[in-house]
Amino acid sequence: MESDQERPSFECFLGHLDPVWCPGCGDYSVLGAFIEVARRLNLPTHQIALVSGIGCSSRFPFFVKAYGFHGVHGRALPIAQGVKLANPELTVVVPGGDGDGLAIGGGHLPHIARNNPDITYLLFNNSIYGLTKGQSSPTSPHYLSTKTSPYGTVGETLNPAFLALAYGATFVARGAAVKKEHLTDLIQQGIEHRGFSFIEIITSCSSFNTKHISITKVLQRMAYLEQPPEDELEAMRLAAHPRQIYLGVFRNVERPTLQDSVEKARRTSQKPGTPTVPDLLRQFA
Amino acid sequence: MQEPIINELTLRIGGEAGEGVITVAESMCKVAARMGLYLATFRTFPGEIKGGPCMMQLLASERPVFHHGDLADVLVAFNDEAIQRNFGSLKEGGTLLYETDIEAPIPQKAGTHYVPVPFQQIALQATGSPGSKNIVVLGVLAQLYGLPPDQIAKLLEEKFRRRGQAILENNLKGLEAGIRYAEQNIRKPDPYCLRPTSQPSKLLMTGNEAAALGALAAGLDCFFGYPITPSSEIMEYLAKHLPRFGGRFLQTEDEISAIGGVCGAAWAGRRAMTATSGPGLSLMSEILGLLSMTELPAVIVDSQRGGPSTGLPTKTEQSDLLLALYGSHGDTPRIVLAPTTVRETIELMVLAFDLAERYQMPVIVLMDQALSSRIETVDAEVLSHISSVRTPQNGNLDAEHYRRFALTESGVSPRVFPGTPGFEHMSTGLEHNERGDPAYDERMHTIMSAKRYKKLDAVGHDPSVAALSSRFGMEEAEIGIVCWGSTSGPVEEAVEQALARGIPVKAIVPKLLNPLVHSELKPFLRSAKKLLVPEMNFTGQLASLLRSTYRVPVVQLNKVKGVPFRAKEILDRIEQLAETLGHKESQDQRMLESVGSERAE
Repeated sequence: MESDQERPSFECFLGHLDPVWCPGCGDYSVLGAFIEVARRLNLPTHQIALVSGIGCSSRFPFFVKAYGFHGVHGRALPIAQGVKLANPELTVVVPGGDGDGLAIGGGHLPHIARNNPDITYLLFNNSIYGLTKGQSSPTSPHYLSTKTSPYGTVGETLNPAFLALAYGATFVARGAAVKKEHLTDLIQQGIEHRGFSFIEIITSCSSFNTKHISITKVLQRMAYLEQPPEDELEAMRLAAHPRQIYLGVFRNVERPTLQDSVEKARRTSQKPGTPTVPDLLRQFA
Repeated sequence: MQEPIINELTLRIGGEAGEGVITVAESMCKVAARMGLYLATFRTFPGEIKGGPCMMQLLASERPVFHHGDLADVLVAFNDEAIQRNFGSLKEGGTLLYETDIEAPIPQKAGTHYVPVPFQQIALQATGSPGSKNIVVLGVLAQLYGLPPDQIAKLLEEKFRRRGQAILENNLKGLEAGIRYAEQNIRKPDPYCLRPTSQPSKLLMTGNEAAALGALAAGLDCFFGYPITPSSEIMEYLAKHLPRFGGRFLQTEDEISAIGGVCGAAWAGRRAMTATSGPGLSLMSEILGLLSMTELPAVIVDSQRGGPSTGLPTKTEQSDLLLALYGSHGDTPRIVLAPTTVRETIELMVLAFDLAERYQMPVIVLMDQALSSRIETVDAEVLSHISSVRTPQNGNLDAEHYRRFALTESGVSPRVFPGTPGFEHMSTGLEHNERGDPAYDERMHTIMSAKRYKKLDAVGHDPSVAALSSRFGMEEAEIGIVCWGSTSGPVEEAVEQALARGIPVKAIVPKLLNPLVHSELKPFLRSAKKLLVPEMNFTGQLASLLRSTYRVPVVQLNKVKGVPFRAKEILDRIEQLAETLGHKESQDQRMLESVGSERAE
């Protein structure tokens, strides 16, 4: 392996805008981990496509030197799927929050997982809406009182990695912003994985859920998976463990990607000779 | 004395879905098109998956036809219900061919030629099963209305060859039996008889097929869609054929994901589209705004159906115009095109892709159920004068100073696709500066809003949209009609009939509905004393647009019965207007004339 000095510098991957995140925000760590992966894999900046929705973490693309698309709330995955389908050469990465991905955009996740486009999804899970200044999210614990849940949140807490396993994502992992080196490895594996990679990143909001969620307690509950469990149900059991927060890769399997399906349709549909529109017209005679 | 033969026929066939009504009508159409005749059709779809009444009407003629005809010369009824539902659509002195077995009383109208035929019995005797009675009907019609038996036999061979020799032979027997029965037992009661023309044989296709073909002719790369009546056939056709052209097709989980895919593919530099109907367009409206904001090309076909909400999924309406023009929050420039015929659908689809790319904004192509599902003749040479002009990404730019949203004279900025070294940049739905960085100060929002609308203005002056509008009638007429989309057919027919009755009238049909081409519309609107706007919607959406844009009083004619206008309904209104012309009336009254048509379909 080439040495660190031979790799492109960290600065090569920095966009011309400075991050707008609050001091102490976990997103800085994820940005650092991602850029470290880009250095390790020597990704050409023009081949990186960062596609995001709306939220604090969705601002991520502005701070990286790459092609970036910052769209509307909850629709990053469908847009990213379109980008990858249109140009399979691009390394497509989607950064987004728990509200963007599991509340407003939650309906898309099972289908993107099903279609298996070769994109990497970084789901920043801080259990709160930060950009809109402190409302409850689908991953907020039930005891969390927020501006929109002054008497506790309504509904069960969603578990992102567990859902991704249930939806059949071909690569599912969980990392934590505070465990940056471990996270870097996960992101690298995710990008190298051929297919849809889902990485839940446990992070904290330094402005809006500081009172009720103690990062110290979260740290105490963290445990590491050495390798993906061979048994599917075991992977789901560990992802949904009531006491431990397991970090690591829960699943890493190969399945035909969206691109494979496109290629298959082309092969199957093709008849000898190049078709032309006038050929099609003759079928209407 | 024998009447002269008329080489034109308006035929309506009604029955229960599953009885083969559509097969008969479509076979007639195919053969007539091969004879070089012009055709237009209309069909209804039962709301249910199986069973329910269905009907198809066709107008075949040696002259170019604009719509499927008003009242039928000939009505074929497979059962009692078909008579009850369709008898009112048979013209005076028309011919009713009906199944002898019908027990219910047959409605009586003086002058009608009643021709009972034991279709079922004939089928049973010829083939041992009543199932092929529709082919017997075809045989009877062929004999009475001049379709060459050998051509029908050839068509049946093409149609049934793959289903086995036995089925084909049975159908040929049914055809033969029908022809023989008519020959021996029916005295032809009317003067209609189709004859081959000197014209080359024509293609027959639906509006939906035309939309798909137009997209392929434009070099469509990526299609994303979610099934919805009445546009699904566009998606189905492309699912089958787009991969053959090396394209990419994806059925998504909903319309939001579909337009999201289009957005992503467009950003990545591909020609991308989706096809939907009103409910889908409602869901897409947020990302439509994103496409306007990030200045990306996209083509969205909306085959309109009765609304609001789920509305009348299988019936036609023109009630999405204002949604297409404005449906999204904020000021969202977009192009709206509305084809009036099947042939024009092919042409406007190609134009839609070209304009979307040239002006970097979404283009909505408004069709409707009637246009989507109707079969129409199209010249075999339709593609010969169509060519798509691609706008490539900008090559000779200075990467150092590249600004994706640079302010230019035309408002159009240089596009560079992801994957191009040295031009890395952001596109965002946030208001942004020329580089694409978020910038929400009041100055920037004013500048950028103006930039985006400058492009829309420019569309109205693009050479490709000049003379896109159709015009019929007399230039100096005082009664003017403005309509859009598939309503053009009955309007053109009504204008011809009015002129034949000595009523001066003229019409303009803009195909580009956003932006409106003022240089065409203004003089037309100013020169008419009475303006009539027939639309298949309740509130008069084009009428509102014309009033607010040009401050002209217009008379509305609205129909929301789920079926297209009849020329007669428009003609009646023209006659009323002709009578009132010269009479004094207050402007208020003119403004308030907005009663729908009274005639039931």
